[in-house]
Amino acid sequence: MLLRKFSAPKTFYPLAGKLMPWFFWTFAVLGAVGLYWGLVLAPVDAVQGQAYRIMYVHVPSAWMSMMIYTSMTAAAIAALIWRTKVAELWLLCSPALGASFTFITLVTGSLWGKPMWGAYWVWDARLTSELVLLFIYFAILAMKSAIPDRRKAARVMAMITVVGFVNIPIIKFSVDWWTTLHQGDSIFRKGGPSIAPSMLIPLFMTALSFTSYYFWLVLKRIRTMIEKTENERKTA
Amino acid sequence: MVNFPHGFWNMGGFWMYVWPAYAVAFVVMALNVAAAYWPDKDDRNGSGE
Repeated sequence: MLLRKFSAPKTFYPLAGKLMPWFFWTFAVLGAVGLYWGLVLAPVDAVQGQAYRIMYVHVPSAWMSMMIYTSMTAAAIAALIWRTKVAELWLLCSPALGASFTFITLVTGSLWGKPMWGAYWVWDARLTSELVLLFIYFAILAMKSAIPDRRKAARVMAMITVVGFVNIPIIKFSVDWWTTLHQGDSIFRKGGPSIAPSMLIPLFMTALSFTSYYFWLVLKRIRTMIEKTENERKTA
Repeated sequence: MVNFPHGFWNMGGFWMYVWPAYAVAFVVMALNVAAAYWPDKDDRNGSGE
């Protein structure tokens, strides 16, 4: 019942307005502290030298690219089954942010690949599946632009999102299923993380900062879209 | 600056690879903030024109 109450745009609009400043400040404070810690205070890596510091932007972006897609899949299921309006709005407002994080992941990964592997790009399973994710985001965004009716667009976007979700476990487990140049899991793995706490804590900070950034902007976009719908209703 | 054994201006790959990675991320994230807070005017009023 509570979920149904908050899934109505009228209730969601003020709630989003109240939550936005919290997400903004979490993003700003944790981002500033995490970056200072990661770029200045964290020690130089014994093997990778300074280049490993790309991790503080690459890893959180990669997590976000998959996390945003997973949240979109949950919204897509709610939109397809119950036609929940807020789920449709979530679906309409998320893919641009997801595509941005996927793009950042690919560019920063490529800049990390050059000093470590000697190449900006290799057709490795992890890199290729992440590139496929970017194309899936583009397909979803193309549907949003192509269909003028927002509710119809959301339904088509939901269908593509659900089908495309198959790529998420492929990205996650690509380093286990195939022999890849990309390194395996070093954080969420059996036996605990293989990264020293002095390097790991700022990574969690930037990851939480990026997550807050996403929630801050997706809520802002949803509020703008609710305002837009209200204007349309008034002028109709 | 104990963490920069090669000196601040010659940080073994920092300026070649690390700095551009952060610049790309910063620009893309700033563009997203702009898109959310200053959406296209035609789009904002919902006229579809």
